[in-house]
Amino acid sequence: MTKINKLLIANRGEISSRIQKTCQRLGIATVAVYSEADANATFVLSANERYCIGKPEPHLSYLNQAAIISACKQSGAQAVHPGYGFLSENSSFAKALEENGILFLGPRASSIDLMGDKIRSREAMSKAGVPVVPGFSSDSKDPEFFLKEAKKIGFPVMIKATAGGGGKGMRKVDKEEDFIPFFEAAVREAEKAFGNGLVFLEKYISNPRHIEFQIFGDSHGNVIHLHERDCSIQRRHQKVLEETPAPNFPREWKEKMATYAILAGQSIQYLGAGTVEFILGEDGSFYFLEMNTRLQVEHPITEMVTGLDLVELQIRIAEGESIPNPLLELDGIPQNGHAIEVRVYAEDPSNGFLPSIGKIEYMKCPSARGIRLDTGVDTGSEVSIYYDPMIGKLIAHAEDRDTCRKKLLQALRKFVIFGPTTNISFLQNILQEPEFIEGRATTHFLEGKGHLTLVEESIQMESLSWMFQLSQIPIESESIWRAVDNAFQI
Amino acid sequence: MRFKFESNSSIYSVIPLGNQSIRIIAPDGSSRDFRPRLTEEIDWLLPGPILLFEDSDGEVCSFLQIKDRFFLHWNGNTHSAKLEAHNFEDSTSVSLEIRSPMPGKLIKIFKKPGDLFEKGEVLGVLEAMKMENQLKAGFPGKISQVLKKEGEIVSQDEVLIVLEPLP
Repeated sequence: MTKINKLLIANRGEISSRIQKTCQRLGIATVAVYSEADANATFVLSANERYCIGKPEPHLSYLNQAAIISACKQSGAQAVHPGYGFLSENSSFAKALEENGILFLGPRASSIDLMGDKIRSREAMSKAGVPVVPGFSSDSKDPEFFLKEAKKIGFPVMIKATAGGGGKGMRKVDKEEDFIPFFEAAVREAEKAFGNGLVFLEKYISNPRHIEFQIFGDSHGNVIHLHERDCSIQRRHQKVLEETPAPNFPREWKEKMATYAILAGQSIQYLGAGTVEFILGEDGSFYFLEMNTRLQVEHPITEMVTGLDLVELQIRIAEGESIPNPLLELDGIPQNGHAIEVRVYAEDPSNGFLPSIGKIEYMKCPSARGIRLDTGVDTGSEVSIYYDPMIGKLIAHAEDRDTCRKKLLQALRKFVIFGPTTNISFLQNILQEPEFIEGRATTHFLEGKGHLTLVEESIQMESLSWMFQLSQIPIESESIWRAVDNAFQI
Repeated sequence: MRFKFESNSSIYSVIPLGNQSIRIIAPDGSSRDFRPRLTEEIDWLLPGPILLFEDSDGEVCSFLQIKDRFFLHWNGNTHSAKLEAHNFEDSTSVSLEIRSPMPGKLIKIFKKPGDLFEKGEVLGVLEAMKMENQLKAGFPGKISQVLKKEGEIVSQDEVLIVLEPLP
């Protein structure tokens, strides 16, 4: 068993800062790697050691395996935490570390490979007995043949182009009598769009929700789940808001899904932190979507309700320890109160969510009991063109869902960022939408809700009157001294 | 005196009426008068300096001006605007230049000089931060010049394509 006392974090921004916090608490020295664009970033300055690994473009730095492994050797770090994104789900990186005798805080390379392949992972899960979305594919283009299969799956079904994308060659069929004409149209469309008329069938799930389970496996064969997260609110398949427990989620449904989440992990002898994602229909039917073999962006909400530090668990499991006994007992994982996370982005909702980059001229973070902010930027930081423009994740925890929602709303109202445009007002609007308040959000939540991106015209006008009025106040020399005074007080 | 502010890609007129009243004219021509009332409690904070003040509900608000850019956090939301001191043209007129809305890489140009285009047609694609952004025409017309090549890195506000309206 290797005891980790120096950890290299092969990532940037908020997740690097987040991992460093756990390391500081555990007395583990931290090594940051960074690109030239991040030389002055918070996560670089706060680490115990830092190594520049290349130019700003990700493939020249954060994806540069050789440079990262060389930083491990120079610093003497025994382990690497990959965070999320970048190399976190790259099996060749996991193998390269192993060959160099460095621990990878993630699953076995074989698990990464299997789960990274949509078709193979589906097959493996189906074989293990985990429900997958019923579907049918064949090299045939015979409509009658497919109709027979469609009836087995049950209507409504989706017809999708095998070579597909962008909705071309895609049809939703509600009734049996529509099937043949829709099928023929889909084949024609696919032929025209992709030069390949092959299509497949998939069960259509009405009003689906995205429910995922946090799981952990250790090297002693234990697999546990740390409850669910509801991540139904998404924009272009990117999660916007996550919460736990899932609202309107009967206990029987949860217990069934949790059993399959654990089965999914056990069937591949999963090691470390993973997330099993399911699609949940309104009738309670659910199917395996995919498994993420890393720490998720939204892991903090699980930490808030369980009181566990997921990064610490990852470190201990990598060291070869077993999952602590109390957590292995039936109902051993607490689920206290409710937690909601929103992703604060430098983007302009009123302008097609265009990324908004530049210097953060002023940033004031909300702080209150039960409010957590995971961020990698501060006043003076640059939101750069090279990376994901996420400013941070704001998380609220309270005894029940509505208190939590209101607390998060209050915190968002107090969150000030001058410089890049952010989605903070948009997030506030989501939290005040009746469908969300009642816990009825599905993955279609944001469709047709353009009003959430708008600012009321009268408010916009009044804000301009304030800006004009305030710009008329002269900055006197004395006021600068008052500013200096205030600066010293912080 | 009359000021033009750009906010949320629209142009607003701001007219101080004296006696603390300010008239705002929205892009649709509608107008409203406001009297933003400041309490005595004003503080300054560095860097910036940021002006801290209280609104009528006693909530702390903040304001920052950097040259022609204005930032206001008020009523739980952040608003920003740009003073268009030199731009007094009518808000309905549309620019004859396609400029890059942000720094990025020009990955596609669909037109060459002399080509015709429709209102709303996509003339090019700019990639910034892994996202593709369409460059759309605001009116029907003809391409006059294409100043950048596919694959070129462009900075914010650079002129990419020059347009001419149809007669």
